[in-house]
Formats: sequence, C-alpha cells, structure tokens
Amino acid sequence: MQKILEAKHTLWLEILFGAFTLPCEQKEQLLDFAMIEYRHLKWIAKEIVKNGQDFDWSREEPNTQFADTKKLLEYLVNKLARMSYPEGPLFDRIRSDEEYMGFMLQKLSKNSTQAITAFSKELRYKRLDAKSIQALVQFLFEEIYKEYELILVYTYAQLHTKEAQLGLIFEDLIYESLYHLKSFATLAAKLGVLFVPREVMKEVYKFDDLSAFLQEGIEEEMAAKEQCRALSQEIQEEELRRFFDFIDKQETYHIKLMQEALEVTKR
Amino acid sequence: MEQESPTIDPRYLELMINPTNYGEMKEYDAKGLGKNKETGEMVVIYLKIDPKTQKITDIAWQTNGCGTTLVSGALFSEEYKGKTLQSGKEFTEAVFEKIKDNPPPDAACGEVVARAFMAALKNYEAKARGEEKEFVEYVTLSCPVPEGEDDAKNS
Repeated sequence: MQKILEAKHTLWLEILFGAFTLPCEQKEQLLDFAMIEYRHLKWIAKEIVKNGQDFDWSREEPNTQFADTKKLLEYLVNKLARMSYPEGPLFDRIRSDEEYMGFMLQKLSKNSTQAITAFSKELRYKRLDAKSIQALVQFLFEEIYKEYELILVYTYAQLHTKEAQLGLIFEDLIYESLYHLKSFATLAAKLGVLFVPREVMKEVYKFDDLSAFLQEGIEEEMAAKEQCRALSQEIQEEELRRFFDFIDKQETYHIKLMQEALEVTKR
Repeated sequence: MEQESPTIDPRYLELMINPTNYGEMKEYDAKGLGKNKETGEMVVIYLKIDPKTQKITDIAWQTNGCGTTLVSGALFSEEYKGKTLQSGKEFTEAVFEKIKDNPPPDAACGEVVARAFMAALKNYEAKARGEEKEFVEYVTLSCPVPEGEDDAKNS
C-alpha cells in the first residue's frame, strides 16, 4: 500500500502543479481533479493506518516540465491510464474517478497547444521593480514549500489522532494551506518561478510532541504574517498589496485555530 | 517602461529549486540531525562511507529550512562528497570559524547543516563501537543551547 500511496502522491502533485501552468479555464478543471487526487491520497493513507500500519510521505519525482499544454495533458492522460490498484471499494472508486479524469483531459488536450512559461524564470510581473520581485520570489519560494509541508503534516496528524475536535481543526488547517498553496503557486507561475516543493523529511511530520510542533507552528505563522505585512508595504501594485493584506488577515485566524489545537492537546 | 533586471543570482535560484544531493537515503552508514531550537529548522544528513578509505562515497540530506539553509546544504553536500571523514570534519570546523563572523540568521542556516554533519560523524563512531545511537547537534554559535537538552538519543 505504501508504494500505491507514493504513486498517488506523485500523481497528485503532477496534476496540481500541472494545473498552475495552464490557462484559466483548463486550470480550474485540473485543480478540481487535483483535489480529488488529494482525497484519494488521504483515503489510501487512512486505509494503511486502519490496518495498523504506518506510512510516510515518500514519493517519486513528479514530472511537470513540459514545453506546451498539449504535451502536459497527454502525459497526464497516459499516466492516469497506467495507474494500477488492487480490488476493493476504495480502489473501484479511484479507478472510476481516474477513468473520467483521463477522458476529460484527453478532450482538453485536443484544443490545447499553448507554450508553458511557468518555469521560464523570466522574473517579470506587471510593473514591479527588481527589489520587489526579489522579495516576492523569496517569499513564494519559502511559502510554497511551507504550505505543502503543512498539508502533509496536518493530514498525517489528522489520520493519527483519535480526538475529534483536533481532527476538525486539522481539516480546517489543511483547507487553509491548500488555498494558500494554490494562491502562491499561481503567482509563482506568473513570475516564471514555479517549482514542485521538495520532499518533506520524516522528522517534520513524525514528531513526538504535538504541542511543541503547534507552538513552533504558531511562531512560524506569526513570522509569515510579518512577511506579508512587509511585502504589502514594499509592493506598490494594488492587487498584490491587497492580496498580501488578505493573506496576513487569514493567518490571524489560522493562528487562532492552531492555538485551539494547542489547548486541546493540553487537556 | 522597461522593467529593471531582477537581482536574483541564477545559481542561487537553481539551488533553491533543485538543491544538489537532496533526498532521503534508505541505506546509509551514518545519519545525523542538526537542529535550531529557536526556529525549529532541522537538517538531516545521510552518509555512505567506504570503510577502507573512510571516504564519503555518497551523501543525501533534507531540511525543512529556508532558502539560505537549502543553498548551504546543497553547497556543503557537494563539498563533503568524496572527502574523507577527517577532511570533512576539518572542513566543518573551518565552517564554524567562518560562521562566527556572519550575521546571526545566515550563520544559523549554515551552522545547522554543519551540525548535522558532525552528528552523522558521531553516529558513525558510535556504530563502530557497536552502539545504535542517533545524534542531534544543536546550533550554538548564533542561538543558545537549550538547557537540559542531551545531544544523543537512543534509536
């Protein structure tokens, strides 16, 4: 099952990061499919835990670098067709989902031949000056990894907790990070610096002390708020400035959720 | 209006996106963990060592750290690969000396990688004595060592 989980993890990232390289309409379709793949990933991990075993977030190296959208979509269609699962209700569902995804992506690929620029490292965005772009790239680089890390950490924690309230808080935190990852990666793609985050080390999510992890996480979120505020002040372009104000305010509630989780762990 | 050229070093950017030798090593001869208690940043280093020559034949590492830690990890790992354990240790000690003059945040990022290497050396030495111990080395040059923290844990 671990091997299936690894293949699913890779596929999820290929569809998710593939989506960020596509034009708007196709992107939305792929993002929906990526969300379904994330749920598959979580269900497979849940099965492993239910069987009394543990899992890790190892993965194969995702393939995301394609010259144009047609090549990307054709790659995904072939990849979906090659996925292999055992029998059972969960895998019947997964097979059925992926058959439909393959059909839809095949359809999309027929009218899609746009060049992919998300990895071009062009580093240009609207009328931002070099200093703002540098600050923005540094922020995106660290936060894209961080949000991916948090999705994996909270998913792992959620699947290992028996405390219902904690499970709900982790669910909220996962949604928060999925949204932030999508927002930051979309911005990175526009700048031409999109990348798939590196693998998360086991020591990060297989921790002994949940309270200490949450406490450190709260401090990190506070630092991220500071970064958002600094970027909002530094970047004069209105849409981006408002975006960072919006993320800054989201982080406030994010911290509140983590504090609630911390309270539950102390009971 | 022509946009100014960005001032990000392309090699720095490339190392942040594709850090050299990054990943987990499943079968290793030594493993060490470096940690910064202030920030929660960690680096784990895995070494494959030729028992005859004591040369580091392969290295892998991972981190949850920032861009500077990633670049330090990538560059240090390139440096360690092919060195003997002794020259790796000497290189690390020279790094500690240099780090002292760097601004604290940057110093901590480089130091946490070097600490992980030193922890891996301790792990290798312990294995040679027949002990199964994993080691954690903490950043000390830019952050105080937490009180009551032991640098070794039984695996």
